[in-house]
Amino acid sequence: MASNKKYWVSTEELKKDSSLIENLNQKEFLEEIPTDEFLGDKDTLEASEPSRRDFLKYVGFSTAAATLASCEGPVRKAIPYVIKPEDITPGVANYYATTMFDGFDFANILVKTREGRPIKIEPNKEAGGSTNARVQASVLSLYDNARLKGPKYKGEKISWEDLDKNITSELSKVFASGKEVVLLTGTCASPSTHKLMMQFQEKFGKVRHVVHDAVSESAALDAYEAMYGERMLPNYDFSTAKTIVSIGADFLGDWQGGGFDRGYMQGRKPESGAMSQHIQLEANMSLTGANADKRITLKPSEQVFALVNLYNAVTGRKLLSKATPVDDAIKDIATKLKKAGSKGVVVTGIQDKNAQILALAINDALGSTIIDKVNTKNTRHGNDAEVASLIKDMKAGKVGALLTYNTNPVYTLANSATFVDGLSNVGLTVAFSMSENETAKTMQYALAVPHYLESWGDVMHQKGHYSIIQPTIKPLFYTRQFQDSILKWMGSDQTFYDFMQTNFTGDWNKAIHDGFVKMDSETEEKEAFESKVDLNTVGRVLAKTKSSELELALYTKISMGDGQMANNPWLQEMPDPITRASWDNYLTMSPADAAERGIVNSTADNGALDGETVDVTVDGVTINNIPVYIQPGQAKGSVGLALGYGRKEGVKEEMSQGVNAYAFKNTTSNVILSAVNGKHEFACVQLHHTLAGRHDILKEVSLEDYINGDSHEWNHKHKYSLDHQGVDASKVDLWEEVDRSTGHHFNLSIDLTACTGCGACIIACHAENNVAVVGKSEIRNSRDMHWLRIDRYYSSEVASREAAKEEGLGRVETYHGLERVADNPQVAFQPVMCQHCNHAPCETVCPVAATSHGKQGQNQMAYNRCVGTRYCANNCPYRVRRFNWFRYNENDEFDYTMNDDYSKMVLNPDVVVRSRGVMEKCSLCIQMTQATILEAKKEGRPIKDGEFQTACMNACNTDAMIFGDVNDKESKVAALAEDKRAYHLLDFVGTKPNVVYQVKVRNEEA
Amino acid sequence: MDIVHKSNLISKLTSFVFTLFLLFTISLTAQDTDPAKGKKLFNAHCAACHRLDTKLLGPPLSGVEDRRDKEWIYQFVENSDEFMKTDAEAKALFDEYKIPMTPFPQLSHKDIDDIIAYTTVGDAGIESVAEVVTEQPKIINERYEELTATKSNWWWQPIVLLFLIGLIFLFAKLKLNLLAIFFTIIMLFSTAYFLFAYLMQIGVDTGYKPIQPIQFSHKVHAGDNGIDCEYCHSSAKHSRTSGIPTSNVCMNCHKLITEYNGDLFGDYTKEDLDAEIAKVHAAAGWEPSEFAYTSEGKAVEWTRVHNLPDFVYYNHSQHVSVAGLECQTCHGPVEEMHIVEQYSPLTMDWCISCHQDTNVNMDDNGYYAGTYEHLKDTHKGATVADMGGRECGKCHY
Repeated sequence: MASNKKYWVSTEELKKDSSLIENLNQKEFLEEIPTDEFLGDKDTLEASEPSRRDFLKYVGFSTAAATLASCEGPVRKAIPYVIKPEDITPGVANYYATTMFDGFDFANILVKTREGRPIKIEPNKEAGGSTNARVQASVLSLYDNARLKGPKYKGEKISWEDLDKNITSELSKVFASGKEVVLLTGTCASPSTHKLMMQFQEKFGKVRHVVHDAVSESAALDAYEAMYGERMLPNYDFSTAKTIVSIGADFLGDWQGGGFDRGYMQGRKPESGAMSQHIQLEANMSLTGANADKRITLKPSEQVFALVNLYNAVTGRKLLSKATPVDDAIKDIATKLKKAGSKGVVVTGIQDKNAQILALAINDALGSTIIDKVNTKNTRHGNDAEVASLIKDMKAGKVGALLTYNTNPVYTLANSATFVDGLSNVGLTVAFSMSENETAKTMQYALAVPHYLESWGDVMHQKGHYSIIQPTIKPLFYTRQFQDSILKWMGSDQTFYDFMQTNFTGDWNKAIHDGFVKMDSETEEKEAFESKVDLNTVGRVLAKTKSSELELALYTKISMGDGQMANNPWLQEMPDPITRASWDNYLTMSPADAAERGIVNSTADNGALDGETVDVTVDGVTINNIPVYIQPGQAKGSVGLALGYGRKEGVKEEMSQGVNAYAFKNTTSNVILSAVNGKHEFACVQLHHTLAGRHDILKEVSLEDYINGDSHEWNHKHKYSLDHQGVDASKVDLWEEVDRSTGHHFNLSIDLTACTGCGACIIACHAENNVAVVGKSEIRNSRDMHWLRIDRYYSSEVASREAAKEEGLGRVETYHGLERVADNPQVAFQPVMCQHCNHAPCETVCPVAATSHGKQGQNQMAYNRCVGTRYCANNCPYRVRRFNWFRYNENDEFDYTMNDDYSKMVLNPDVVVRSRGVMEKCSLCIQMTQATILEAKKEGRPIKDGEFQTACMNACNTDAMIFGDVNDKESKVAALAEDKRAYHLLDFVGTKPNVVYQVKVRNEEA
Repeated sequence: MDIVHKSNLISKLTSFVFTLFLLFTISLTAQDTDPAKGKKLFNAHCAACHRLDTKLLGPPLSGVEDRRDKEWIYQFVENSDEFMKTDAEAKALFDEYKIPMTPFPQLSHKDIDDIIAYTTVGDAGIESVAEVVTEQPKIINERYEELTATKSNWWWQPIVLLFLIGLIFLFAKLKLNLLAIFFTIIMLFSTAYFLFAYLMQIGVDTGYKPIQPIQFSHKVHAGDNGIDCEYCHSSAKHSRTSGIPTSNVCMNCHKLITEYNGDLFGDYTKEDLDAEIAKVHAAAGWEPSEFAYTSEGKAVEWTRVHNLPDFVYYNHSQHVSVAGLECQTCHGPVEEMHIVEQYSPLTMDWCISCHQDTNVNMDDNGYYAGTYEHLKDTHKGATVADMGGRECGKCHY
């Protein structure tokens, strides 16, 4: 039941006597303006130059001068096209269906373009597309000023013509010498590119194609091949699952290319009563673990044994294994899986072929229908063994030419130094790259390729689902596609576009329009595959898994992924859903391990997080000065570190943050931490915008109580006494009620059960509303500008907490009893944006009426009227207002998104760019609702449910956010607003918000 | 305004009478045919393909009377396609120009005679008509001067203030303290009022009339030639911006219209205005002598007349397509302006007043079914402001 849970966001809160928390709770703006320091001291004041009097004189004069000078308005130009492109109407957005593809993320998307500029990415829902934060942010990478703007040879610019001459002659030399030409690429998943490479091979003979993934799923691919004969990744349809067991697989994150969240949440609808149960065994606190109904912490080596034990318990076989501390739980899980039968599924993220085989074997034993072996996925194809042998061959001088495309091996290989050494034995090295990254810098030729929004291409990221990439803008720079270069070097005069089209059968125009073609799954008879896997051998090998006192589990952040978009400020500034830290990677460590080593995280006076750094050695590889972040829920004996940080080349200095964890990629055990040796300042928004200590804004209920219990109990509505009767707080009013029955009345419903915390909405909001990026130091000052934040709450039952205190068990003795809950807390996410209160506290305190209420329920902010008193922010109980402390556009101090001509092209022309000194906040995307209304008026028709959208709800893969008009009684949101799970944040304040939350339901049954 | 109207009317009347008089004299001299009428007909029907002295799509028509038989011309004009089948001369003409002439059965023989008369005498023969009309722009220019004059009509304010100060000193000298105090108060109030009035007009650019890179006259295009506003500003009904016509839109007409033959205005000579048309050709990359696009062209950098600040969202299509407003409601009589100027103040006060006074027409729009239904029955209806057109967030986001 919700009432006896304690919610907390930081371990700081668990300390009894923290004055800091009190301070943070009470103040919206933490720093005092230092007036007294200066004005209070008469001597300094008089001695200071210029004197106060002079100062006033100057101010007086300059104000008068400025007033006079400003009487002339600037002359503005209006420049039309010479020839108007047929499909462009200035001021009207065009949408194109295309496909996001960068070797790490694959998504069917719609691209919103204005006057020929792509400005926003939306999921192509007709194609079943879903977007994550990176896909949403990829539009900004198009306008990255640090992109490679033309081809280069050894760092010098070169023309494509000269380059073609040089390379073709070099290539023919290589072919004459009998050496090999190697194409090293990331996962392409492109049928046409694949065909092209085959033709290249046919034409020249000794050509080898090696696939290298930064974050490899080689083990899973090899396991699938061993079991079923094809080197593919199976698909999983979690929507019909009953029991989901994940051993270290972050499938709501980037596991095997991601994209499972929609199906997962479709199977978790409490109102249907059939909600899947999800049990997660993992070391790091992952996004998936945070969403699990039950989460068990287990360090990486123990996960292997847990998997073997689970296999044994499910099948009754006796493979060699070792005991783990959670064997009881595993027996329990096995029972549940057997009960679920074909609706049960086991997935694992252990990077070991044998472990992956075992997981597939369990699914086979269950007869699982969740695992889909027909519509297999092509999202990862990397082959670690082939990459290793390539590096060997390079060293041996067998490779005559190396062409890399869509991969950055110098950065992502653990043995990068060996690779770079090997390059010196390769005659011709060519990197096709979008930025002058580590690899492009190292190789002889750096060939500029266009961004995917400027390219033609096709992708088959799932069997039977053919997606098309079409350009949405002319190439900004002097670039040429990889495929066009290969065609040219083959002596063909075709372009890749022609090549693609000739290889396509079907309605080409329709395919381009829709962005995808559903192809019938080929029914060709497959040869029955006889697997030669001997599970006893698998068990024996797995039993040899080494464990050590401290083990490392590498992971990817939902924001940064594999690090190719490191120069994207939106992603850098996006707080990690779990740690809420941005602009960094760090070693996550359990509170117990940290206490043993005397490592602390402390919170500075302004609420910013400080940490300590350590040197980490894993199997002889050392990285110095990694900050330690104490992560509740981290498995004791394990540390986590995010990949994708520590980029040095092709990124702005500000974006070169953190350490490169790829160096640790091949090893996980034997982690040695040296002494604590320095301080680190985190840019963590953990304690920002806390609601005056009111943590009861989150409500949870177990599935059982939801179905059988009394909703008044688990969704308690605050009551006030009116005429000596208990009346719902929402019915009591200080103000006269405004009649909102005419026209639209917008409500946004946020389902806490369906929210995975992925943060795609945060980036969508950035793109739609021109939200500024403020940088690491300003984030530390709690001046982040995110209109939408996703609060992450840890929770634990008070009863168990007190029990722990009384028991004083084992390691609990060493530190405060309260912190035991920090070992493995439950996690809940809560997106919070402006609540658009019908009785808004901010509106009544604004001295200039800059913020006011609209009939449609939106709380409106007139930026040009705002004088920046910040009264509204101080009076907002939800802490959702953001103040522009500086001018974040055209300001070299904030060289992130709005400072150069390229990145300014991403701005949404329908939303004003705010200036310094004004308050801003979520507008419920009023520009979008107004556009929808206008469209309907022009067409003279009523508005259908689902037409009204906000950027955040559009980006939400799991339909956690539903937006619409509650005056339309048939609409989804009208029903949701009256649902028994519906509640308002801080309903007792009587603000009557237009954002309504749905109580989080957990499937906790034993 | 009224004065302007009247003077306009008077000038129109005089020019009309004068034209009539001239027509009378010309018709006296030319007896049956009327070259002035012929010019009009020529411009309406022939000028798309023919010039008097130069080749265009068809041959130059000057002196056609000497080259062809009248009867031949009648038949050719009526239906050249048919005529070609029987007449070798007509066939030869088609072979030379490759384009069959549009049939003009609607032209009577008298009309054709008039046109022939015009081609014979040329513009010089009816020059006097043009002279009369050159009077008009001067009056319009005066109107502009008047407008600008009212704007800078502030000189009396300091005089009033000085007068008041003088009075105060006088009364002070005369020890009429009560009066002195009284006038001091009046003086302070009027100072505040003048200051306020001064500050309020900052940024209000009514009458702003920048010089454009091309001397484009809306009067010639929208007024004299009656081109619909939305022909050029075609995005007004679809988009927030009305759009400035791209060069290819200009070229729809100016491919053929290479010189200015209308009434002269301002201090411009025909050569000046022909040079302006040449600028349009240059912008589009068109070479009239070759009758082909020869270069990429270069966009014209117009100076914006109507400048809303960035923090205001205004949508043309809302007002044009939904509300059905005439362009002139906000932009004034653009079809009378040789140089476009800002007609309305574009202040928030101006926007809001209109929103408060204008009723929304809900009858013909299906959007207003549903929750708006009850508003349709009320006697008063609902103004834009009632519908939320006064809320800050509707225009500021």
